[in-house]
Amino acid sequence: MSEPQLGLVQELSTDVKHRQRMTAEFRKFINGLKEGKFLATECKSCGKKFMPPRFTCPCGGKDLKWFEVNPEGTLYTWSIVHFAPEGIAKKTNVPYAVGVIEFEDNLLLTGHLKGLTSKPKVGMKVKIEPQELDSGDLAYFIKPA
Amino acid sequence: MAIPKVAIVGIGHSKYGKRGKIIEEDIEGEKAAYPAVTIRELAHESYFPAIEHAGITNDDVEASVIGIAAEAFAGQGAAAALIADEVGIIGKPTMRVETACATGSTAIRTAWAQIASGQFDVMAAIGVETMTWVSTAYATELMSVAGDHRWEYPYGISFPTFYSLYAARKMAVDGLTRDQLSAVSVKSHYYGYYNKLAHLRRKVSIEDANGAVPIALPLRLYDCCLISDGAATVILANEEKAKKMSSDPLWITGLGCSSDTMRVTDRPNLTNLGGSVRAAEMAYKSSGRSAKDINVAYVHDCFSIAEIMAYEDLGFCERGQGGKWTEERGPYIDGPGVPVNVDGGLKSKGHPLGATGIGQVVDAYKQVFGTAEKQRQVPDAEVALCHNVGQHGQFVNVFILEP
Ligand SMILES: [Zn+2]
Repeated sequence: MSEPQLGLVQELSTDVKHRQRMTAEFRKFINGLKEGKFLATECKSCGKKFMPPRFTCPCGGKDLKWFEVNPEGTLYTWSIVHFAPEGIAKKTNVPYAVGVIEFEDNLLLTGHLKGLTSKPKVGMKVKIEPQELDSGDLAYFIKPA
Repeated sequence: MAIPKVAIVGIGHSKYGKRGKIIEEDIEGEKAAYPAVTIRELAHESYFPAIEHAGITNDDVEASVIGIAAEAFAGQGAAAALIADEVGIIGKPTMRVETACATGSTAIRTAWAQIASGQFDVMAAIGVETMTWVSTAYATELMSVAGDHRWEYPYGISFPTFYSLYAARKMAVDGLTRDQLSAVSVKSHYYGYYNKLAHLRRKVSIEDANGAVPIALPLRLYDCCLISDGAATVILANEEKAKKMSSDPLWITGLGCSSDTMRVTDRPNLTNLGGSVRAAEMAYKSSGRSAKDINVAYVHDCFSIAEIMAYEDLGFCERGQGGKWTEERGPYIDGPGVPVNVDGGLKSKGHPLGATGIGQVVDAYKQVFGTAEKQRQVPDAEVALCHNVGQHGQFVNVFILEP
């Protein structure tokens, strides 16, 4: 095991236990990744924005529009994981880092944090990039900008 | 708004620990041995003392609620039926409830509601979990799959990782320090050492905690609660029955509950748990009490950072001051604030998921009626608060308890 294989699991995965059904909306997000885009949604009723995308709004709004998020942001918080859950430990060595990226509009997203040369620092410039895992699943990771 | 009068009239609490193995202890010359057990015997160990304490028999118990957080830990489906049968509450309604680590308090809240509605007069809430027979990696897996299965778990976010995301954020925003996190564990172990029912009765120092192996940095071993086997039971009764059967009823005078977003990233901040704030507000309002009235508190310290956030969320100290309050001995019996987790908390007493929230109420009963071990007894405690959290705030229950 070399590079940690952490990320979204889709239909292509043979790991049935952790397979996610590919709903139409999730497919749209994944198709966005294929084009290198991070797609989020915005409620047309109240204007609230969602990343990961939601398809209904807690305000009751059911009409949401897609928009593309700027992949650059700052590190909101981090963790370096030394003991992985069994299902994750099968796929990756420890330790590995997890980060939360803060995009514009205060949108937050968790992801695998790669390419650190020193301890992560809250507020450091980071960006998010799409990644194809060995399984064929599309995912994304966060790295220092 | 006052709530219907329901009281705790009987308590039972097993030894927490690695109960899959025989435990032998020698604490300050006091020797004890506990047999190896399963969920069946653990349920007996907590239930029979509880009905005996209430002065009743199975004939008086009209229904039961069983708290088991993950049946996979015991390898038993329909586990409520098994537990009710084992203790002999047969032919009467039972159900299993689950709200992750808040399962125990939800069992109490569910029994409370069934009594408050007038459907039943006397009920048992039994919480039990056997967690130590599985590997640590599998136990971590069972707790981690409760993260969002599409957006969190696949990125390797273990259960401790969620709380480490809070810890790193709180360090950056509120200036929380490594020593302050460790001070929580030092306190938990100090009181747990004197609790005969605690899992890990060992005093630790700031240096031990600071230098412990990393689990999910910034959190290290002593920041994380134990994986334990254990059971706890309370018997609940309505006002009429409680007054008849008990000379020492402990009334549930306040009750609050709330929830929060599934994903950690959908929250307005990562320096407190909104679910705790909302549940506490509801509990204080229903009891007419406030944080300054509390004499002894049990907070959900699955991680040291969780206890520090709880101090703030429950109003024991100012927002952002939880770390400082710990260093100032705010949560100590002889400190200037509110004694917190004088049973050792989840950190030292242990965290058998389904039992934990009930175990807090059992210890609150002991504190209020002055029957805890003397080294950890709060003098003249009257008003107790119990705070039990599932996941990282997706489920929260807060009880105010008074004689
Ligand atoms: Zn809306």
